[in-house]
Amino acid sequence: MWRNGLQLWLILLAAGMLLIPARPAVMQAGLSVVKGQVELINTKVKARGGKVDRSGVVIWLEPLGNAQVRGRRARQTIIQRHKRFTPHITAVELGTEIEFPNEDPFFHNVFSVYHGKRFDLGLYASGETRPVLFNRPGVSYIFCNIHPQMSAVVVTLNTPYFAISDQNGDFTIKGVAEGHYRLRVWHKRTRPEELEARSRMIHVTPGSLELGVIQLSEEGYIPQPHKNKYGEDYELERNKPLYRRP
Amino acid sequence: MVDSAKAQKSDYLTLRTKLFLSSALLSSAILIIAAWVINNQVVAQARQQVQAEVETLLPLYDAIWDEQARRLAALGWTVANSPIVKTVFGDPHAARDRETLREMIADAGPELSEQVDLILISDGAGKIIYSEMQRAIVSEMTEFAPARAVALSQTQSQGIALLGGKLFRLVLTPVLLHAGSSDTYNTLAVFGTGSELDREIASEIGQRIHSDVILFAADRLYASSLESEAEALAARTISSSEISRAVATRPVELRMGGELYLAFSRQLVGFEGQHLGQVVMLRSLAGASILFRRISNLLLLLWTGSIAVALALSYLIADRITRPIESLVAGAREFGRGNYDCQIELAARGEIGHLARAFDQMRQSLKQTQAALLKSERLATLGQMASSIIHDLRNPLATISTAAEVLSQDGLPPERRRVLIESQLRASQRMNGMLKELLEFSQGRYALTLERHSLPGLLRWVVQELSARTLRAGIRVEMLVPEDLFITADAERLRRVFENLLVNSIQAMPQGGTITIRAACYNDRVRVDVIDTGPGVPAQIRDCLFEPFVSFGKVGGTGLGLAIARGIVEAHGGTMGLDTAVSSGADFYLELPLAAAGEKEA
Repeated sequence: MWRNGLQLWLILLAAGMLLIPARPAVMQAGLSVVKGQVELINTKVKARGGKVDRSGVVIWLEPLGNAQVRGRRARQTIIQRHKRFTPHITAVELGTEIEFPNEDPFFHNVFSVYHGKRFDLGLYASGETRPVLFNRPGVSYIFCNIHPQMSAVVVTLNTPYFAISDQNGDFTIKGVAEGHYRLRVWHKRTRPEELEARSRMIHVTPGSLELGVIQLSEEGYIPQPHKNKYGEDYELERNKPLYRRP
Repeated sequence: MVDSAKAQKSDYLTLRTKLFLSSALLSSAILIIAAWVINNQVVAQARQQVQAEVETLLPLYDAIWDEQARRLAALGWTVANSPIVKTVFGDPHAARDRETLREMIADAGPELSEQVDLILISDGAGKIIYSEMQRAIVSEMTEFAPARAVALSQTQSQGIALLGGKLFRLVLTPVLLHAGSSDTYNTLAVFGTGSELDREIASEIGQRIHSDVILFAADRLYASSLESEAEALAARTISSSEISRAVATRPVELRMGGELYLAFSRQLVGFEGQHLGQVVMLRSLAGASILFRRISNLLLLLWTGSIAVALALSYLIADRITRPIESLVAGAREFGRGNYDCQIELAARGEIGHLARAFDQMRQSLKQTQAALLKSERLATLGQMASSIIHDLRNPLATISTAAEVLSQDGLPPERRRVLIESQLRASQRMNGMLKELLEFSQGRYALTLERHSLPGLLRWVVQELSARTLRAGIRVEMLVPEDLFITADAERLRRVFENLLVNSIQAMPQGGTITIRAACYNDRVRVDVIDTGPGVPAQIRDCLFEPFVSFGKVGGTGLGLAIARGIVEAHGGTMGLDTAVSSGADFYLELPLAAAGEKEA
């Protein structure tokens, strides 16, 4: 569990580093920093030390009206290693291409059947990589057709202003142009209605904007096994008890 | 007496011992026979029982065997039908990627890794593309004919396979693109799942059928549920038994390490129906021997108990019988001694009681009879004594009366008269002496008046005394007696002894004959023989001649004479007897001590 946390952390750091060099190019006078914190309630998932893992919540600012939007669609990577997708949650601006390199010694079959981007990369060997262009806004659930334990989420957004919360729930959106936005939130374990209820209008002025605490409830979340690319269960139902060894 | 008592005692013990021994022997024999019968019965029964058990065990074994096969087959289908597996095998590149297959197998669930020791994967044409044994990839395997058969037939197949020197139960399951289609290219792959027929399997089956299970393959013991030592022994025993070769359908009895086993077998059949080996199941008959041992112990206990009971019983019975018998024996012994007053214990019941009472009755009647007998005998003795006395007194009385008769005649010369009176006096003196002697005899002792006398003098005197009778009977008396013989004796009594002997001889020779009186010295004793030429003493009375009241053919004889004579001689320290060495006539002798020289002659 800690490894997951650490990895997530490293990924966030890497994501941050990717963003930082781009900053000076886009950083201009009058750009703001939007900060905030996410709090999860009624959660059943615990982080290390009994602390609630608040990471993986995507927060973005949807420009309203005349807000000036500048795209910075850098190429992203989701690695398949040790039968895991890393990072687990990725947010990209519409039109971004993500590479899916197979760093495991065996074959993987990356696919997505959900409402974001549908694709099937097929089985490909170790060391190979295949890109996917995310040209449809929405949430894409990414799986491997032969390794049911692997999963990733790609949230494709119509805006360059987004952030993913860290372990503590803190997030920072930098370089936001002045204007009116709709603040939106996405969290894997929160129902869409509640997410919709959390969206609100904000007005970004030059300087720093403190959004405060955004509370998300995980109530009613039931984890469900996903289907394979054919829409079937990965495993057949087994009559296990009968053939178990004593 | 003491010896006889000892003998009696030992007889008594023998009876008791005999009784005990016979009952102990009987109970031992019965128990030994019982043990033999029980052993036979128990062993036969146990054998039957084990046979019957085996009848039920074989189906059970088959059921277990089939269940294991079914389990493996079900697992095979589960794997082959898995969408993941189908996905992987559906991709020609992924299906040939060893790592992908390995991951697929690892992900396929715990059953595959727990229960399966061999995984064999062939492509749709039956060519082996992956083989893993005990979770280690084996690269050299490329061909496996049964896999091709399964790929073609598209049906699951199972059998025993000897691969890499190991014995496996193998299930080959086709991975089909579409179930139900018989298209040639419908088979994506053949997935083989094998489980090694190892010690674990043998033990599991063995435990469930309560037998030892031995797997033979390629003519050697492959695995068994036995300990290594027993395994070696079993391998030797079974290899030499018919069960290892023949298609044995009937159980075979085996003796292994002193224990009896029932062995039965099942064939191990390969994919093409070929014989690869067999499973031999050993069922111990030890249960029977344990049961028998337990029964034997019980019997031994019973035997000990019965011996103890026999001991107690024999002692009790012996006591009840022998003690009254002992009492009877003691009573009988007392009767034998003449004691008729000994009381016999009458407390015993039953036959012994009857015997005791009868015995007591006999004792009482015997006692009465004895008393009556004693009384009549005493009377008879008295009569004999009286007649004897009369006989002895008649001689002097006759002398007296004859003399008195003569004296009563007139004109007798005075000399003659004097002689007659003197003989009368002598006769009366003799009578007196005789009566005194009788008294002494009846009292059993003699008061002797001992004086030194001349033996020839005494003898001459007696011969003189009897001269009238010898003359009358025509008997010649010869005296062969040396003159200088002196004895210390009661003269009157000794005269009677000789007189008695001479009278006997006279009476024995009524037709005349010769009486020889001979005397001779031996050391300090003198022997006197009185020998006649009569018929001699009859043999039948020789031994009791000197007993009182024994006579030999004399008319009016009482038989007291010789008894008195011997009594007198013995009172003088001498002996008297009949010399039986002579061929005819009688030779009575007596020996007397000679008088010491210098004693005064009476």
